[in-house]
This record gives sequence, structure tokens and C-alpha cells, in this order.
Amino acid sequence: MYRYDDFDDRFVRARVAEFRGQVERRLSGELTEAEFKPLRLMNGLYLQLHAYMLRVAIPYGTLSAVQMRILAEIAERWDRGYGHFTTRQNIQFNWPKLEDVPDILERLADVEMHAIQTSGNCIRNVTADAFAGVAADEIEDPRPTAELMRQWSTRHPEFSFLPRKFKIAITGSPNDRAATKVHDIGLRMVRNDTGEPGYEVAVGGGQGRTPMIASVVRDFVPKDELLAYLEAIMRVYNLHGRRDNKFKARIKILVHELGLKAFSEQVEAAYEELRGRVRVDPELVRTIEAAFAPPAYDHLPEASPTFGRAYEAIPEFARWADTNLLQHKASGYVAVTVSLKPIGGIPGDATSEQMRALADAADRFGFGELRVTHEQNIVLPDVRTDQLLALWRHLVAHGLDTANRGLVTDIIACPGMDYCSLATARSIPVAQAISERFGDPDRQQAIGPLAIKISGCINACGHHHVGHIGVLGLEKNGEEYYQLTLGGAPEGEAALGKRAGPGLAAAEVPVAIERLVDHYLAARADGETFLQTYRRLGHETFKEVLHAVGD
Amino acid sequence: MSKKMILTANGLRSGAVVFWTGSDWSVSVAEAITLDDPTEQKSALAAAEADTGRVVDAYLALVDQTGPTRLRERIRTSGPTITLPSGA
Repeated sequence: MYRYDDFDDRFVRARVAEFRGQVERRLSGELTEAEFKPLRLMNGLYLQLHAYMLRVAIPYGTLSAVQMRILAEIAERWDRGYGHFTTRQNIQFNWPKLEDVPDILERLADVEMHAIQTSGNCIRNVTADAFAGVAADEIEDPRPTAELMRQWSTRHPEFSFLPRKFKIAITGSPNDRAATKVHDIGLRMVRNDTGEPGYEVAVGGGQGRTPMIASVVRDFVPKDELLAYLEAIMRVYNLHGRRDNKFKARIKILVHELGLKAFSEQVEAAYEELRGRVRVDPELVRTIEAAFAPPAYDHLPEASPTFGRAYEAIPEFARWADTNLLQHKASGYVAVTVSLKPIGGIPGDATSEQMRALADAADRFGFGELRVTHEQNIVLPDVRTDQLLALWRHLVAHGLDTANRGLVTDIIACPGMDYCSLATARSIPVAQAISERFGDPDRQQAIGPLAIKISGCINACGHHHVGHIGVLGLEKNGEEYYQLTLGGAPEGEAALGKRAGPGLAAAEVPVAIERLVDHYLAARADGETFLQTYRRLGHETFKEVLHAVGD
Repeated sequence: MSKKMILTANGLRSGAVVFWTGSDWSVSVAEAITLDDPTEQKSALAAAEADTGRVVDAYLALVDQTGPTRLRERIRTSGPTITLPSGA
């Protein structure tokens, strides 16, 4: 993992001291709320429905066991004993008091964390493939590039007052697990004709009220020229992005209005000018790359007799192993997804006790590292296959053993109207009802991969546009209702879901989803997933199924 | 007939949801006074907006005999409709 140098440490601590002074001035009346609000937002502090909410950055979703324990401590000392992991790979605390926030930030700084770039019209915390550095299908670990982007974008004067917020996602794998095509910039590592690794750059993706899939503006940018190319994009956006209309201010609107060709030409012109000038000291690059060097893996055989025996003897363990593991680069290791989606639970929430259990697991069964996924789960990236049984028993003891990665109950949901001041409807109770309805593990396995994603308003924090089944909560005449979308996908051939059927009452949503699932099960060809069947049969046949709901 | 309103905000220090009792802010909606007269509502809101040392984001919320009418306001008044993970 990257460790702060003196500059990072001084910078973060100076920001804490600065914010402490700002809070004191606000509480003494020296600063008005209008003056203070932009300052607190620059430090990740929002005011939600019931309380303040502090959003803490977890850069590219990587954190250490030590950091996880401090998050647990913060939840316990200054909040209500739990935190919420988000689709942006961050964590949110829902109940902090304003006067405590400087102390919380100070504690975060102790472990090289902060809440900068989690709000406002800046380049937000960069997100990455949660399996970066360990996935067997990866070309290279993209996190050195992500860390470089963090250093480049933090307090960069050109990027502090952008037309609108700006989100970058990166993956080192051809299998996109970072939803790169629905980000302002999506970076996917590829090799050029000579085998050199670099990045394919896509621009103008996003969700929200105007969802769009990003367009590739350049097939290949060499790694050492990436910052110059990104700076060229940011320059064009800064010059031409709409500042007169918040709803048209994202770069996706600029790309759409200018057209990809004209946009690309402007970027290329800026790139020509910048490519010789925006250079990173190779020594710095080497330092960052060294920080992400693989840990000292043991040389192990691929198969483990210990694992094999347990797999045969314990059906629950076998089910979990079938569902929650991903192939690792190193022989004898796997990457484990720890689901934060217990049946009927709140997607993405973890108690302090669970956070500590996860930290302990990272120390005992890995190299002290964890990842947060954009699906709101946790990954233990380096687990020995022969220790999987011991890990599973540890997870069982803490209610973290749900075997549902990628299945129908692995639901993404935003906080919705239970917490969020922007929400138009609740998300969590709908997720809980769907989870309960499909809770039977055999049934989940039989259904296979199915991504349900729920947002409580049009801003789409719950990624409903890219759910195989998306659920959007809206309000009409004071009543919640839900609009389904079908066929969305963040990965592979990324697609936006299409609206299907009438608005539904909350209680009708699980029924409607069950009808869609039954239709799929009846119609699927051998080995076909929900999404594949949907794509083969087309939108209308699935849409028709929904018309019967409520009859 | 004029609409019945209560005046609500978030406490500056705690962020907690608070209601105007006529003389002070309370975390209990039961202590909120109902404002019937539009002029009275307007002046109460203006006073709350000026009370920046104690509260933020003050606004008027529609109520009937049972309390706030909009679901959002009911959730804001009663707290999340879900059981919090730690039982908090």
C-alpha cells in the first residue's frame, strides 16, 4: 500500500487544523452558514435529513487493517456504532456532531485518511477495480496510476472549481469490474501493438438524470503520458463545460453537445501542447510503484487438500466458496469477497464489531489489506486457499458469511429517504424486501448472476441505470413509487437499462422482480444468465410480464 | 383556509432535527407549535433563518392533526424507518 510521505502528512494535518478553525469560527458566529457550507463540503461534511453526514475517502477502495480499526473506533466514539460503505468505495458516517468532526478528521489523519475530494465540484476520489493487483486476468495493477492521479488532482488549482463534480474510474483488467463506462473518465488498461501497457481513455459516461455510456476518445495513451492526456481533457472541460446550468454541467453533456469528433480534436490539440510539459518525475513513479509491489506470497500448489476436504464435508462452506471467491494471480491464493448484504440487511452497512472482525481477518488471513467494492462489499485480497475454512468460520462468527456475491440478493442500494435529503423515496426497505423474498440460498444459486440496483432518486447513487434490474424510487402526490429498468450492465458491453412497465408501489417491487425472474427461468437456454436471456429475447417480452403486476 | 405549518430545522452543533416551540427549539415534535396564519409563518421562518447561531436549514413543513403530512417529513421527524445495524 502507498504510505504518506512528509508532504502528504503535513498537507492533511494542515487541512484538519484549518477546518478546526473554521468550525470554531462557525460556532462562535464569526462565519455565517452561507460562508461555512462550502468549507464543510470541501471536507466531506454534508447535512442530511436527520443529522450531519461525514463521507470519508478510501482512495481507489484500498485500506489497511489499521485504517479499518480506526473507522470502527470513529463509528463507536463519535457516531452510532456503524458505517455505510458506498458505491464510490467510500465510507459514510451518518450521525456525527459538527463540533466532533475536527477530532474525527484528526483521528483519520493519524492513519493517513481524510475526507477531502468527497464533495464539491472537484475531481473526486478515484475509484478502481476492487481486485486490483491480485486478479488473475489483470495486465497490471492500476493503483500506482490511481495514486498518481490522487496526488495530481488534490488541490490542483485548475481542478478545484470545475463546472461540476468529476469522477474517474480505473481498471487494469480487460474485464471491467470498476464500471468505467459510467464515469466522467473511464480508464481501461490495454496493450499496444508492441505489447506496452497503457490506457484506453473513455469520456462522458455517467448516471444521474441524463445517463450516458462513455465514448472512447483514445485507444491508447502511454502510461507516462496519461496525466498530460487527462489534463488536456480537463482543460477542454474547464473551458467549455456549462457553468450556467447545473443539470448540463457534467462533461457527458459537453461531449454530447460538441460531438465526440470535435471534442476529441480539442483534446488532441491540448494534448500536443501539454505532453512535453506535464511530466512526472520518474523517481516518484518508481516510489509509488514500489508501494504497490506484490506482498511476499508463499509458493503454494494450486490445489489444497485442506480446502478440498472441507469443501466436500461442509455444504455451507462449499456454497460460500463457490460464490464469493475470485481467482488470484498467485498460485494457492484467492481473493475473497465478504458480503455486506446479509439476507434482509442494509446493503453496505457494517458495525464497528464487524469492521474490527474484517481488520482481524485481513491480518490473520492476508497481508493486512482490504478493499471496498463499488457493489458495497469488502474484499480480502490475499487469502491462502488452505486457510479458507478458518476464514469462513471467523466470518460466520461475525455474521459476515453470506454467500451471495453477484447473486440476486447482492443488491446495491443508496441510503434513500431513510437518510438522504435529496431522496424522493426509500431504497433500503425495498432492498430488504427483495432480499427476504429471494433469501433461499438454493434458489439464488439456481437463478445465477443477477444485479439488482436501487436508487432513491434520479441522481442514481444506487446505480439503477446499470442494474440488470434497476429500481428507481420516485414520489408523486406525497407517495413513493418505483420505476423498473431492465438490461443495464456496468461491465463488458456496458448498457443503460430501459424503462419497463408502470410505476409500482413498494410492496409490488419484489412481486414484479419475481415475475421477471420466473420468466427468465422458464425461457433461459442452458447456462444463460438473466442478462443474456434478456438480450436474446428482447425488452418487450420482459416488459409484458410486468403489466400483470398488481392485477 | 390557511395551511397549518410547523417550523423545523437542524441544530447547528448536533445536526439533530429540531422544532420551534414558540420560544425555543426542541427535538420533540410534540412540543412544536402549529402556525396557522401566513404572516405568522413568514415571520417565524425569517426569525429562524436569522437564528444562525443555533440552527441551519430552517423551513416550514405542512402538518395535519396526526403530524407532518409528507412522508419525507414523517421520516425526518421519527427517524429512519429501518432498524439501525447496531440497534442504535
